[in-house]
Amino acid sequence: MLFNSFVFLFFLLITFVIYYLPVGVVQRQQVVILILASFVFYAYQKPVLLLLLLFSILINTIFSYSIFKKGQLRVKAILLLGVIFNLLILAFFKYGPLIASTIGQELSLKNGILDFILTIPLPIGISFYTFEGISLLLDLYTGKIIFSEEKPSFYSHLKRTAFFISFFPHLIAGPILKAREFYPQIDSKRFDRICWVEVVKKLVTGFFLKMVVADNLNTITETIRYPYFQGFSSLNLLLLLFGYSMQIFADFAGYSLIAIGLGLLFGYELPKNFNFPYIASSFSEFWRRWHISLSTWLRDYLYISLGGNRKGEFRTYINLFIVMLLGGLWHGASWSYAVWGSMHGFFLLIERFILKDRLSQQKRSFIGMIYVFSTVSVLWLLFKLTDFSYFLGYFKAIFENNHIQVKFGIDQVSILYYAAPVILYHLTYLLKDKESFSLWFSKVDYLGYAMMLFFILVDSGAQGKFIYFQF
Amino acid sequence: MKKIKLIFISFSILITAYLLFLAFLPLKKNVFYTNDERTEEYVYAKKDFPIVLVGSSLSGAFEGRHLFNQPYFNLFLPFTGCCTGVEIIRNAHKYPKFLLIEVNQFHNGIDSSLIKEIFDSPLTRFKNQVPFLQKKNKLFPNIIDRLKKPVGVNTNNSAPPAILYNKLILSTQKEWHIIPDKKKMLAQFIHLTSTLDYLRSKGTTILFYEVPMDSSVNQSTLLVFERTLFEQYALKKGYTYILPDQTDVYQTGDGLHMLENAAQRYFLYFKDQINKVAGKTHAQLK
Repeated sequence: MLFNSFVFLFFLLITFVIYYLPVGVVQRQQVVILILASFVFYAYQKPVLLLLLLFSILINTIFSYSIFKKGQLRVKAILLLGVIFNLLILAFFKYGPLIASTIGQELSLKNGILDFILTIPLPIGISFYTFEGISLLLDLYTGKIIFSEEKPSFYSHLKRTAFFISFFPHLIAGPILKAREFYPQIDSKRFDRICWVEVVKKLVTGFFLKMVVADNLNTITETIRYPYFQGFSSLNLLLLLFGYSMQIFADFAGYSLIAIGLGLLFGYELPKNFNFPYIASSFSEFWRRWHISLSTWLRDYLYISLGGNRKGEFRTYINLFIVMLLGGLWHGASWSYAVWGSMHGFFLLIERFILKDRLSQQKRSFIGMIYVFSTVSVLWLLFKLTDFSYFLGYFKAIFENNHIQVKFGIDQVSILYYAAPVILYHLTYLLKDKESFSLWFSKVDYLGYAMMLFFILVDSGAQGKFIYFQF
Repeated sequence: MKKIKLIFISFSILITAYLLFLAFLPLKKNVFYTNDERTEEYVYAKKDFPIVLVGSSLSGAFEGRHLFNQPYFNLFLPFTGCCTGVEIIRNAHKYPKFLLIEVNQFHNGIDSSLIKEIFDSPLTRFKNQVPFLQKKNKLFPNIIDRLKKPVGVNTNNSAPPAILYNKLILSTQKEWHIIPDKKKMLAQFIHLTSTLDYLRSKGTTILFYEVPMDSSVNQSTLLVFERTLFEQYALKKGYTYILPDQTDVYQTGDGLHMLENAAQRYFLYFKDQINKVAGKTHAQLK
């Protein structure tokens, strides 16, 4: 179900009304209501995929409950098994086709098996909910989850786990929740506790970024297709690249804001996922601002587990690179995502090597911002052109097509027009430290939200899927 | 809550102002950027069009050209073809006196998402009363259309660079030399002809036509299959089939779409054919 659809609006309204019904039975079963609603939400497009989600919930409940119940000796083995199980599910459904297409012949897989693996449908949101399952196991193992009761029953743990993994606002494209942050929030919620101002602000901004900025840019950046881009001038190619960079931010940040707003509507605080990423003047800063829930997940559960920066400089570099490579592969089952992750890893290593201890004290510089933004934008192209030869072809065209006449029509003006809100959004961050601006902005920000609401109604693009759905 | 009130009051003022703006200064459009915009223009137009062309982006070559002496609507829909156009006419209950059907991209079938968007959206019933819901009144393109003179012609002056042109030609030739799914196409044809029977019962006269493509594709397996299908049907039902011009070669930019120079020449040929048809049987068409 798409957040930007009428079906979802209808679904949300019904769920919201039932959830806050002032009836004792309903109030005691608020979590169950949200679990059922989340199953409907997930099963809407392809009901069969719900089975996998249910399986994942059950497996994670069993393993996590075992960790909770068993003594110290066997806990590590259970944890290991649980993590491996989650990774196997992810590997089979997400990476099965990639592995089969790459080394299927070498493995002498029979044609029937190979065809079967190659046609496995990618269950939507699988990357998100398997990472959440792993978070649950690890947080329980390290004792970071505090339960409201001393000895929760299997049923109450199952209920909590089902809710944690399936809560619909974050289910399909995050933010990726950490069990230790979410479990303490599971409680009965009251209608009069809803922070409406925050809900409205998050939803309006999220829908604006998605429906107005991302969807409109999408109709233009669709032309980044092989071989069509070879007919565009260098400047037009650069402009398209810029547009795609703006689109991908608006699309994903928009989704995250909608998810956070919806979470608040039901009384749950989901983690912030974006913090003005395009003002970053170093790659390490960029990763502190972009897809924060993924980067902190990778830091907390992978980088630190690998030894982080505690095992010498060389190992730190290796760890960083591994984390970024796997982070890249997490995005998609294609080698282009591995290249994308490796390139980010490479830039992080270079930065760390050159700046060393000065990295954390580095001041924001305009040149740094331009460098990070342009490199990041170029690398986004690997999301659009997943065939590496097309990616290289695009670059070749940028350098070679300077003889082609620059086209400046409605599409080119549209890129600048629809990118403007993203630029303004980032500018507000740069200005927010100025007291006079902050004071003025807090007085007139309602006008901004009213305008965004107006634009949602009169300037939305063609309804498009969220880019991060494919991950 | 005060802030929320302020947000909604400001929003109401903005939306009312825009509604008034559209009511007093409606936009008269003759260039459409998207299929849904073009379709809405046909569906919600306050007037009837006695002549309608339905087809794919190939029929875009007629855009902005004076084909007939009376109002006509070119319902060409890129990425789809005549089937979608015919379906739109049926759903809109706006039956033209003459319906000209482009045969070339019949195999694209019906764009059901477009049909759903136009006729089954919860907003459909409000689009006449609330004009900003119509795509042509989308704020940014609406303002642009008022500021700049629209370019009426839908064709390119020159072919793309050789590196791209060669690839496009090759891919077009590859695509048109196989029949994608014969069974599906035949089922689609039966559906289309039953709709045409219905339109005929509403008084519509039907004509078929072809738009020339690259000479290497004009006799391709797919086009010949479609041509035969429609020619036989036209013969059986007594409909006119305007044959493609065999005496000239029309240059394209990608194997499919005519360049401006070729489009101008073909336009004259097509107009001449229309005149001949009109001279014989359909005086009104002229």
